[in-house]
Amino acid sequence: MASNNISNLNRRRILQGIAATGAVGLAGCLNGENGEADVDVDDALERNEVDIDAIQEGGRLEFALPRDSIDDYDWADSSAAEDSVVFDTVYDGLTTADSTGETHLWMAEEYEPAEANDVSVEDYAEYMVEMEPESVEDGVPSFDLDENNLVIMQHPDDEPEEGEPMRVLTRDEAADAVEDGTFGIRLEGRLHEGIEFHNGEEVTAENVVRSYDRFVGSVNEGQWFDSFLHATAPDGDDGYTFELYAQEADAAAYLELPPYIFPSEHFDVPAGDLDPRDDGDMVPVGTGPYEIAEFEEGSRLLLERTDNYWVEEVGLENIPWYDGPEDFPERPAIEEINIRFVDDSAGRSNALEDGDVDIAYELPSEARNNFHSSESFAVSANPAFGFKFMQFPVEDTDEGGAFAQREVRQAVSALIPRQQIVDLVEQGWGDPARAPIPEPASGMGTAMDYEDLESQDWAYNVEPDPEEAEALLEEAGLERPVEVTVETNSDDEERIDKMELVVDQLNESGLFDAELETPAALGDWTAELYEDGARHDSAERNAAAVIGLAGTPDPHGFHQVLHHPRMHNGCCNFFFPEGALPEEFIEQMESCRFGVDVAEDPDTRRQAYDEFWPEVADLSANVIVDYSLNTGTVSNDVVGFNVHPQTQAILRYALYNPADQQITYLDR
Amino acid sequence: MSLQKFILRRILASVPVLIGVSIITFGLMQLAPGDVVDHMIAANPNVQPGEAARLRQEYGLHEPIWAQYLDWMQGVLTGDFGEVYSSSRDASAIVRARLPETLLLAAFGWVFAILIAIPGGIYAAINKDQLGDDVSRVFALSGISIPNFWLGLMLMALFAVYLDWFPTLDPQTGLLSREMLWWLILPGITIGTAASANLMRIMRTSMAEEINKEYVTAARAKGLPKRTVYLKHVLRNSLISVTTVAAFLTASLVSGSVVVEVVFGWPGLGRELIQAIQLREINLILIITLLTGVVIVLANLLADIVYGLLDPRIRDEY
Repeated sequence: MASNNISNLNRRRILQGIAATGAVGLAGCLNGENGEADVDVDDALERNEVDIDAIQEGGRLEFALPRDSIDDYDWADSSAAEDSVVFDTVYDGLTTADSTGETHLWMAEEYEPAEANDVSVEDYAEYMVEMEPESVEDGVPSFDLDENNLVIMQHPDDEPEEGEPMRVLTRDEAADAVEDGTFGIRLEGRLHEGIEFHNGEEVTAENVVRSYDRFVGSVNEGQWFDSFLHATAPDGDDGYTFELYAQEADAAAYLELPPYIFPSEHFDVPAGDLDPRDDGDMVPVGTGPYEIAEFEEGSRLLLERTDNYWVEEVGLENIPWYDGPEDFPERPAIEEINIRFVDDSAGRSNALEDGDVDIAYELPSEARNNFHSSESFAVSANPAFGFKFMQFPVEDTDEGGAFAQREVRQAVSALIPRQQIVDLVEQGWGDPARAPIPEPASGMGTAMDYEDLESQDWAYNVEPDPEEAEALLEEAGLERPVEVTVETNSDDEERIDKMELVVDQLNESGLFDAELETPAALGDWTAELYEDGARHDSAERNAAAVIGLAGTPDPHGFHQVLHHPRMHNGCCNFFFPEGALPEEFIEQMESCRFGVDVAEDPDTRRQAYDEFWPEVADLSANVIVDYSLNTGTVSNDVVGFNVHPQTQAILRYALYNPADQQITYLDR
Repeated sequence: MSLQKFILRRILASVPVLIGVSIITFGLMQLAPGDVVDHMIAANPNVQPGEAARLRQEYGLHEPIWAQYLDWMQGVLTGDFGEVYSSSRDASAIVRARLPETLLLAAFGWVFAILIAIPGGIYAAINKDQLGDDVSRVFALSGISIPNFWLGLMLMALFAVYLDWFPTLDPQTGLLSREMLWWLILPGITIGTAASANLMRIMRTSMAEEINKEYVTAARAKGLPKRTVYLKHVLRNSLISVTTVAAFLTASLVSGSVVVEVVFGWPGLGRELIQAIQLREINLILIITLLTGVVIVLANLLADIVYGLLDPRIRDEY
């Protein structure tokens, strides 16, 4: 069966190569004599080190972005991941992350949790004001508030009703609460002195505090104000000290509260209006190593290295954690970055091979393998935060409803051929999932070594275990074979190939009668899953959904979005509204993130997660299939390129990051 | 009726057509699963489900469908074609920025089609049932049958990647620069091939029919050279059918540009339309669809005017 699977996949690959892209066939010309690609991922995982003395300054880097244009130049309002790839070079943050996912101070000279309190919404009640909603849609009230103000929380006992006042806390009242000591966590920080924006304005605490104004009314408003309570500048607007407050004692606040920092000229620009295509004066201005030099609708974006980069001003020696070489540069080496918009993956392959671009990512697997085997190109890889997961509808329905029993879910998980998926479909460019978090996110997610976490009794198996699956189904008492459906989106060939292996394995075991369905492209399919009745329908059909997600450096990004009822009908909780999952599970999950003990002590948090991960594996409402490797392919003109775990940081990290002595230069 | 009155009448007649197109487009988009907010949430965990109601209210998507359409129509009458929600930009600004590229691509395809089809069709008609005619038939069949996305990929793989005669990406030198026009050749050929194949067959058939008519025999009997008979008399009479098809082909060129722009990364409206459909950006879809309708209406109007130039009898009927 395994060999049939291999031959089926090869036929599909051949057909793809003929029908879909000439680059696949032509890329074979890059290889050695026999035209076959020998894939050895290990050397791609090795870091490309740079000899500081050999660094060449200047040059223009051609970077292929997998989009046809910048969606939204206003980073406060953008929801497109690819926009972040570009704007990460324009805006620096209070912290930065190295290639292992570890966080380091960056624009902040000091930044740490200072005080945490166990508070709940009721504790804010005395500060709430009564306000009548202007309208109520789908149970969500909207209020007529002044600019830059919004409702942060509402009293849980007050149901929104048109014409009826309800108790709410807005940003104005939040300041009062904070003054009285009612807050979840306070994070104190201090900026380096002398940091300038591209326009020459010095960054002060006011920039940190006022930047939150820009998120009011933005598409990302909910994300920011879900946790954020208030920000202050204790030493005044011209000072460098800032305090950030979260609504609850939130261990994730350290990473998630700091805003993108805007200059004063943009404080009052409404969200979405900071776009130079409509107003040439509205050019994004940040503190990053690059600024926007030229742009044109859909076809051109040129970034130029700024001549007042703050690291040169402050000096690497004044960055407390830096212990690298004294002569490591204090700015990127490359002078210009020309962003080339190439939406199609075959087009990016062609452009890279043709020399029109120097760096490309998200290439077709075959093309990437061929580039990797070629002497004229190099592929860099790094374990990433991205993952594929299978989510089960747990509703107990009259018809179907098999996945209401955790034994059935566990049985399916036991049969997922995780290693085979990585070997055959990803051809080594991935990691089979053993633990519920990937290695780059394990720093805050476990007190164990990652290898120990992967070898726990409850860890996911990488090879199918039919015996265990059979025992589990025996426990469940269901008639076999159990009819199940595996659903995934129709516009991802690799994902479909993976699920074909899963379905084949389920059927081969004799325990399941499985079929694969690909209802629609990703956006359409997930929209269908959000519709009324879709959850029930999936439960009746025993249809598990398989999808991918980019995780976050914080462990909660791997399970909160998948399990929490608040994320139901959002990305990516399709099946678990309030009450669908055991309350104690949700509470335990929340206790790993919220609470004074975990907010104040990272070790306590790690231990909390170590107690939580077995519950995740046992409940198996979501099971992880595999973890991604981020890869980037470069021409030989590009020296020192290495990839970051976060796709959004692929360009920024490669250009310059002293945390790993990471710098890329052009040799041509 | 004078030509001016004829044109005015045709333009006025096109208004209800365009309204009908907008209603159908709007209605069809409502049938597709999800709206722009659903797709924002699906694509980005940062956009939380609780935000959905707020965003729909902000975008007016909570209103009944008929109210949304009337609101849009009201905006159109005042020149406001609405907002692209995911980028907070005016839909008309995006169209203005990308329209020149699409028009250039369509125009190139059209000119390529005419330059191939007319001489090719004439040659095939004159050499009817001979080798030249057979060759043209094979070319036409191939041109019609080959999917344009595959043709584009193959042209790019061979001429741009393997032979390196053409750039694979936008040279970024300005729309009418020499480099840009050189880059335009492959997508232009791709988009024009099917159109030229269609036109060539019509040209060939139409001309072959005319050649068999008595006035041609009479002209030849009078001693007029073949060249004069074919190019001065027969060709003019043959062009009426070709003009009709050429007008229809405008529609296929405009719609074909969608696929070709994606394949070649040509920065035109076609790519914007694909993305707008995927993201359910209804305002952008509507303005592009309307624009396409206007182009087709104008192309047909132009065809009617050309008829009058070709055949004075038709001119008298305006």
